[in-house]
Amino acid sequence: MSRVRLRSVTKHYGPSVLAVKDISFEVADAEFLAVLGPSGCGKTTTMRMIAGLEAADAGEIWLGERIVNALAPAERNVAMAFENYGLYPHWSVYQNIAYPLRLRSISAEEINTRVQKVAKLLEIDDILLLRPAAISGGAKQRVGLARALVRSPEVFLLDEPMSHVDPDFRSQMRVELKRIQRELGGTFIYVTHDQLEAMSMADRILIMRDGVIQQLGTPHEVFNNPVNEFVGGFVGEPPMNFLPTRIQRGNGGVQLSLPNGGSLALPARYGGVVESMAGAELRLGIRPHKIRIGPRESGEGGAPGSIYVIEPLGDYSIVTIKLGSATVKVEAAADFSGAYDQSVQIAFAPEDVLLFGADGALMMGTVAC
Amino acid sequence: MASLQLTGVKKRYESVLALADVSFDLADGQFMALLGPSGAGKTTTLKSIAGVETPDGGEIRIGGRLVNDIPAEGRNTALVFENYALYPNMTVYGNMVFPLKAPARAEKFRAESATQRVFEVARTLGIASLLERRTWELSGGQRQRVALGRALVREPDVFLMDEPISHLDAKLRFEMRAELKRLQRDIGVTTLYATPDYAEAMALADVIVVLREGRVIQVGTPTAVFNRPIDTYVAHLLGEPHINLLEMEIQSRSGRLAAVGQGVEFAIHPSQAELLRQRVTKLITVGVRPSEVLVSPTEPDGGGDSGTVIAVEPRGATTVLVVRAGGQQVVAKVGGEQRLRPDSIVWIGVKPESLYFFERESGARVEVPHGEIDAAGASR
Repeated sequence: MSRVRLRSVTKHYGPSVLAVKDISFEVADAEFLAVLGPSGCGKTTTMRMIAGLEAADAGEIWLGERIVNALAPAERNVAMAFENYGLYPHWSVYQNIAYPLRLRSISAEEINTRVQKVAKLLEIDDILLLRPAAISGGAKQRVGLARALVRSPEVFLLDEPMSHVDPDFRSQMRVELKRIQRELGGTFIYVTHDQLEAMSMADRILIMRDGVIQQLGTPHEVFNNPVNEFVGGFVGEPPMNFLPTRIQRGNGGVQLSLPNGGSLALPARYGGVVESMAGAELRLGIRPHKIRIGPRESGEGGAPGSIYVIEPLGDYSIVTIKLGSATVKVEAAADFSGAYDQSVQIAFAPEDVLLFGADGALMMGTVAC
Repeated sequence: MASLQLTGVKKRYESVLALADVSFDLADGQFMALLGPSGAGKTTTLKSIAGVETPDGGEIRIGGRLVNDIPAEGRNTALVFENYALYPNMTVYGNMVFPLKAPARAEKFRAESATQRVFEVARTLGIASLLERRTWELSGGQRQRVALGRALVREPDVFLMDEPISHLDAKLRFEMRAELKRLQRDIGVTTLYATPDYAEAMALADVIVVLREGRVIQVGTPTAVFNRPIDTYVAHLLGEPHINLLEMEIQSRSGRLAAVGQGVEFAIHPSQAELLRQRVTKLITVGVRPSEVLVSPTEPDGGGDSGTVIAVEPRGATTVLVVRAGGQQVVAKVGGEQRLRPDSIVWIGVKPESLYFFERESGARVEVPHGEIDAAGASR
């Protein structure tokens, strides 16, 4: 196994589309890295350049101690699984999975053991004799994944390998895949648009947008200390709330305004940073599970609002509150009850708040994580 | 607006029995979700009501009127599809007035009254200022309003919706779900909404109808279906991560009952003991929601079963743990601040009142008096 390094890698498609813009990062040996972002963010292009399916316009790609820019995919010793299967239609599932091993003069017995083992893990051992045309899209993806996992390459490159798998089975596959990665001690790079997949499996997450790296950090880091509004809104469900706020003096201290006449003491960690910015328009980020519905207690901030919608979800409810023209979502108890348009107060603690500048970047001062 | 009633509706496609027996009552103005996996019969049910499919048997009544023999255009239902399918090159007004120009309705809505009607509906939905815009210029939330508006101008008796928001990205889906719920309530239109997603069904609906293989297996409010599932199938269908279903046996331990199996033991709440006493030594399936599993890194005072963490899924506000205890695998949902690692030793426990009991063979839930379960539900 080995580490992967990208140095100042850039990729254009034609003269006008800049798919990946000067990105650099390193994946440690045996690390599980998720590359997360919306469609068009450059994550698949990045993966394809590491695999050798696309050539970088500039920059270096290192696998272990080699620069691989000039090597063909087959020379890179990487195993790949993609969203769209790439299975050989005239071969059985078994033959498809065994193919990478047959290329490597491994005994038939050993091949059989390894194919059976990986097929069992991915619950496709009962369809080994079928042709791809006879199985579902989700099963095809599992076969593609099995074909990658049956090998022992330097690096595994997985691009949305579960997107067509039945959601019911996907949660089980997440656990399995993470366990397989730990057992193999393999370096995994896993591309996904699904923040839950990235959060739940990865050691670290690389978040991309418009071909640019936004943040690289552990799941806890990107959730608790997103570097900008984009990351804050992309990671976590339901998404983080953002409210307009302004720094003002009042009640013997510096305060943040909240919509509908609410206010909040300035969080201590922002003291030195923004106290001098009186009147500046900022954005305040607060997670739904950090907001209470009820009168504020001492030291808390809050605002008056009214109940817009209540969505019971079994374990908890999501309550949408209107604060004038602004809206917040609150994670409330499973048995929360209230009437539409009923007046309520929301409250939250200053230390749970993140402040973002007009450019969307996180202002200094982070949350403990 | 009108009520909707299905009685014993059946439909077979050659060798496939799509609807075996579907009956339910949807009251005027109510929001009902049809919940089930693909193949459960959701879309066939919607199409049968719209008149696009002809059932083989049973009765469909809209506003009390039997409509089996009335063609689709005479039924006054509005079928709203995935992603709402607006005409991208038409204005909002063009999209909304379109259904009123259909020959069947041209009589009812002459040009002047059609315009009037579009303005009225646009005002109700808060999109009157968008009427001149092309739909591709609109945000997701605005498009949803236009699509609902287009269906509403016809004054339909019933809205039939087939997974309209399931293909949107997560963030937008949260917004649209809340908006849709509020709009439906403000407009008061009777709505039947098909989805395979339990969270959508629970969040939106007044009543959920659970379909399985063309049969209605449970009807109830979201909380009732979640807290009092009729069997292991429904228990598994609602909730994420899924409910733990553990194969256990009821045993008597110095006069008190416990569920015991493969090295794991849970005390049974006194309120449930009476009913379970007759099942001592009987095989049973015990259900416990991941959010009701207590995980402690040290041995708690009351004791408990120790186990090993085999997987950790951080999700931000929460963390999902998979714990192997004895021969059982138990999934727990704990606070996001919990920093356990794989191979950590932990103790697991459950609140006795949070256990569900199911017959091992049939999967049917052992009925415990409703009051007791309600009390347990309220303590969540």
